[in-house]
Amino acid sequence: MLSKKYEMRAVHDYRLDEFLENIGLLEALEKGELRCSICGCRVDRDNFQCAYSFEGQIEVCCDKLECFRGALSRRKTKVG
Amino acid sequence: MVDWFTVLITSIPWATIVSLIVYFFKNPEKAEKWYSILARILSYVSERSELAHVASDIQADINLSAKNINAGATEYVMPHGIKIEWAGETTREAFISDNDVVVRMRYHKNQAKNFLYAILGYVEEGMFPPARPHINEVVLKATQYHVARKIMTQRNRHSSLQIFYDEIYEPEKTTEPLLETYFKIIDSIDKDKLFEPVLLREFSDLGLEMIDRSPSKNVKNETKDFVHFLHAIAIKESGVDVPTTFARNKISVGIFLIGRAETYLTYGIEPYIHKIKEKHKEGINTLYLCARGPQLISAAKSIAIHLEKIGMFKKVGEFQQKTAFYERKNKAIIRIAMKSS
Repeated sequence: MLSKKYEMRAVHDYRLDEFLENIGLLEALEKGELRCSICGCRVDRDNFQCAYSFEGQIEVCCDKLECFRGALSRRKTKVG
Repeated sequence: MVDWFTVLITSIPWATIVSLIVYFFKNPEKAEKWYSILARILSYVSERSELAHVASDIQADINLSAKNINAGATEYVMPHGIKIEWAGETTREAFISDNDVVVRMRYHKNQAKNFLYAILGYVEEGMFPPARPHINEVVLKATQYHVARKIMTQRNRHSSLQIFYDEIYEPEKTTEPLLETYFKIIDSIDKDKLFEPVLLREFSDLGLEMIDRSPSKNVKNETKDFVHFLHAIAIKESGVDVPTTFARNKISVGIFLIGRAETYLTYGIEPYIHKIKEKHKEGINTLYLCARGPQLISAAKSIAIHLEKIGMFKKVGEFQQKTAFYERKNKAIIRIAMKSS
């Protein structure tokens, strides 16, 4: 049995709007002002994939898998 | 009067229930898989069940495969399982100060994509964490992709695998041609059953040795050369000699291919022991005894016992597997890892 777990924090589509509202990104998303931190494309409800803290800011990335990998490589490993 | 309570109690198959409880206690990933199936049924009427299904379905499959991979290598290859933690109420300030990252999971109809994001996140962070900075970048990426593909194949995640090929592997190999080269090389190494028991074990050991050291180009090159060394063995034709000793600064390995059943049947293990003693003089840290077929597997086990008895090597792992029937005439293989004493 693998005793320790790599903790992947996630938000389900059910609670996406509530989550984005909590971290102050919902308005920007609705206005079309959110940009993928990796490829620079516009991020909306359809292609939003992850939000992460980076150098005191909240960055987001789109659902292109390469962008997701790029975002992960900038994050700090969390093991619980 | 019928004592209905007694009838009820005696009709419950207690032995089966107790066996199931013990089984699930020993195999929590399988219990989680059943839980995910149950949650899926309820997911159409309950939001909580939908969340439970999405998370437990991913966790069960990844954790089961991670355990399998570790069983073929060492527990340090995948030292952690995965847990999907649903983000609760948070604030912008808390999110930033916690250095948080939150990944979106879609409704279970899109579970193929959810699984792919989870597996990529997992191998990116959960596979031999201490070794990662010391492995050549392209080799590391090809190894990660191979493990991700292996898990998706093992768990019949064909839709996820298709998305992986279409959206990741194919576009990346056009911009990074070496990725395709190493992906194929690692595939050959795996086909010859040297992936988990040798390559992953050595990378994992390297991480433990280098845990508090800075990455260096020399070590990264060593990892790349080691992959080529194993590849040459994996693709070698019968009767062709290739180097079987890789004695470098950080990775120091000898692969001992136990061949010719007639030698074993006629002379026993002595000729092999003689050759291993010569190999030992080359200063290797780890010896891998490799054999195929029942007679030579038996020889490998006897050799391992003998080497331990004379105090030359200490057995640290054994990987035995039946290979696919169409691959070779001899259907079983063994890889025994032994550390120099």
